[in-house]
Amino acid sequence: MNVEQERVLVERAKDNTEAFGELYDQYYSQIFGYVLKRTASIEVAQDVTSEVFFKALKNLRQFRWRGVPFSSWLYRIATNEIANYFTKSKPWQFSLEEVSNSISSSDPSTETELLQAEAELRRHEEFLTLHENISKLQLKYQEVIVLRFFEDKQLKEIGEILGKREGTIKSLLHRGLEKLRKLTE
Amino acid sequence: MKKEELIKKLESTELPKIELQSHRRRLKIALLDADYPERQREFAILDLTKSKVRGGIERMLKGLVSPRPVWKTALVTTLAIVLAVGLTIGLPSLIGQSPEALAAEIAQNSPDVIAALGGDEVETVRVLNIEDNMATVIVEGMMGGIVNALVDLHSKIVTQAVSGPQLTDEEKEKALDIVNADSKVRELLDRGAVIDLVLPMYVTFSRVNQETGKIEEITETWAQMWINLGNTQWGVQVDLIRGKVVSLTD
Repeated sequence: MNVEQERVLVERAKDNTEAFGELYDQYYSQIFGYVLKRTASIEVAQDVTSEVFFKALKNLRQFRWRGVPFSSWLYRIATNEIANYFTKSKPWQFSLEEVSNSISSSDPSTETELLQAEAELRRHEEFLTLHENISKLQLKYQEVIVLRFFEDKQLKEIGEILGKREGTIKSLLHRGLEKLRKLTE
Repeated sequence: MKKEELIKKLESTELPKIELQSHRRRLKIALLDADYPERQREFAILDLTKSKVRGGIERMLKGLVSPRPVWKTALVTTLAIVLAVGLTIGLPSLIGQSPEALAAEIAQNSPDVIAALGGDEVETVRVLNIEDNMATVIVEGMMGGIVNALVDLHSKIVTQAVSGPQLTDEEKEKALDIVNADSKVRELLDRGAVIDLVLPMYVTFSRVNQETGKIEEITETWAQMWINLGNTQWGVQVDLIRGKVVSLTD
């Protein structure tokens, strides 16, 4: 989908269910993946992603097209929601084992899918180790590092997502990497 | 590890690519079923308002060409409306709306905040602080309702609206006793700082139930207050249950 097609789709989605469904289909995986890489928790990724799309639907009429991709707006809502999650849940410390214990569902296929997803996540040991160190950084550093390296975003796009200037992103990235380097030593 | 090595590691780490089809499906159904009827109602109300305005203007225009001498009243009314609309719309854009004014406007017009007030009418709106384009706004209702709203000034949306009753007098007193007993807060107060506002805050966290092994979500009511000294403001979070100051940040 090119920028113009996306602009038209977003305008249609403001009062058309199916058009919003198309936007959802287009961006669900991206947003879920981003939240997962920020939180390293399947359960939290589900909750936060749900919240992101509900907020997007609710506030879609306030979205004004300024040449910035719609996905940047979704990423921004996701970043805010993740920050809310971290702020709300500072004493929220538990292991992945505890999370998987808490998963309950009456649908066996859903449960199987969740368990498979947990197992798949745990298989990425290197990522989980990196994530553990990244999560020790301040949120502003976590945001830029994950967007730059795990989401492969350019500085300009990160600036659009976070509402900051490109120069600010560059210096946040520089300082964040320095802090992360010390943590990994 | 050198910075270059770290960058290489970040770039080459295999990332999880997980898709949860069940969640994707359920969420889509919930999204497409849940909100649209409500939004359609909003559009209907908006259309009704528009038609009422249009009707008024048409009546005024008819008055202008009517043989009866109603044109003077109509002209004065039209000019007054044009002036009022011009001042409302044009003036802020000319002088530039401050972030505080923008945050207050977004918060008090937010459907989330209005819903959180539960029918109470907005009485006062206070912008507590703005950081990284995020404003913390307290909206107080005429009947005593209070909503703590987080406003994203970039996207111009309320990202969080938490409502609740005020703290009881006993809880406020307890919060003040706790902060007064805290050495860091005491130091500020001794230097002449003043406690500005004591409000409830809701802290949600999860813990593992030892008996069932399930994770439970717990919400507790704490107190938050603002301390002013000169041009500096500190936010204090007070855990009323464990009787301690949890954080003091400027």
